Amino acid sequence: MTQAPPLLVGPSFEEDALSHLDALYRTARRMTRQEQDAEDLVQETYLRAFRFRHQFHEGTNLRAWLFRILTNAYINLYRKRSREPKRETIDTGDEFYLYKQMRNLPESAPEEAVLRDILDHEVKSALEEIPATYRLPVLLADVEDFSYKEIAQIIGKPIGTVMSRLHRGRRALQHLLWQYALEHGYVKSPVEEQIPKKRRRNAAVSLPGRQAAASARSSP
Amino acid sequence: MMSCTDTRKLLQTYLDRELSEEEVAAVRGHLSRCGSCGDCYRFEADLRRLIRFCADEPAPPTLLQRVRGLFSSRSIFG
Repeated sequence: MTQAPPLLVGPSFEEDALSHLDALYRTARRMTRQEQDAEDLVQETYLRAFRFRHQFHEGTNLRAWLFRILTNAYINLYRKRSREPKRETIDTGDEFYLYKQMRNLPESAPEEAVLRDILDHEVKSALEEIPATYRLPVLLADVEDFSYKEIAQIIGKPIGTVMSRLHRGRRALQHLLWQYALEHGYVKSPVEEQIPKKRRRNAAVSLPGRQAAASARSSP
Repeated sequence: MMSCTDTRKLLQTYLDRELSEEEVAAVRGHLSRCGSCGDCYRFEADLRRLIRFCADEPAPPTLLQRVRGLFSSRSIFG
């Protein structure tokens, strides 16, 4: 007879679970779009996690398990009342939309410079504007670094569905970032008058430390 | 050598670290020789780092207190 894996309960479970607080919060924050709702969602997630802690087995993926609870709680409690974005996301283009748009600029702006000019809060807003169905896989993959298989378990869908939602979500995000870049003058639309390079450089918003910190993140 | 078209098809999955060893070797081989695909790869990698960096938002300290308080008040470890 095979022995069941030991149950992880007690203070160690509590501490292990709490070590994922920031990750759960930042996902909840982007999903609910509201600070208070995000806090309530995370609290509900922990309440459910501790209530069902006997269903969790040590050695399995606690982080993915917590995110699955968060996802279910979000669907049960928030999805219906969180209003969907005002702006319609354009469902065209490909997965390199942003890169291609920049390559098509009349005067070549270094692509890295455009990324540097986009502000933190604009990236956050763009993420929040992706329809929720596609937003969650993007957050889980691109921010939380979960594998396709883990995301499939978290959202309870096949891997093929994860991949197609991820693809659509990223495409929507690239469209939205391009729109921000145009609206805020980080780039000029090909049909508009070109601005001199010098002015464009002066208009660039410098974010000291951000690129360095971003570069410190692991890459494949 | 893998074509640009085939490389681009695999590029996002490569960044997701979801390709087989053979596919990874083929994509890497192409990226080391093709400037255009290399530029595209670096842009997408930078974009992902930017998204990850910007999406980071630590939980407010009050939330940690709320969650800890919730557990102790409900004695759920009892």
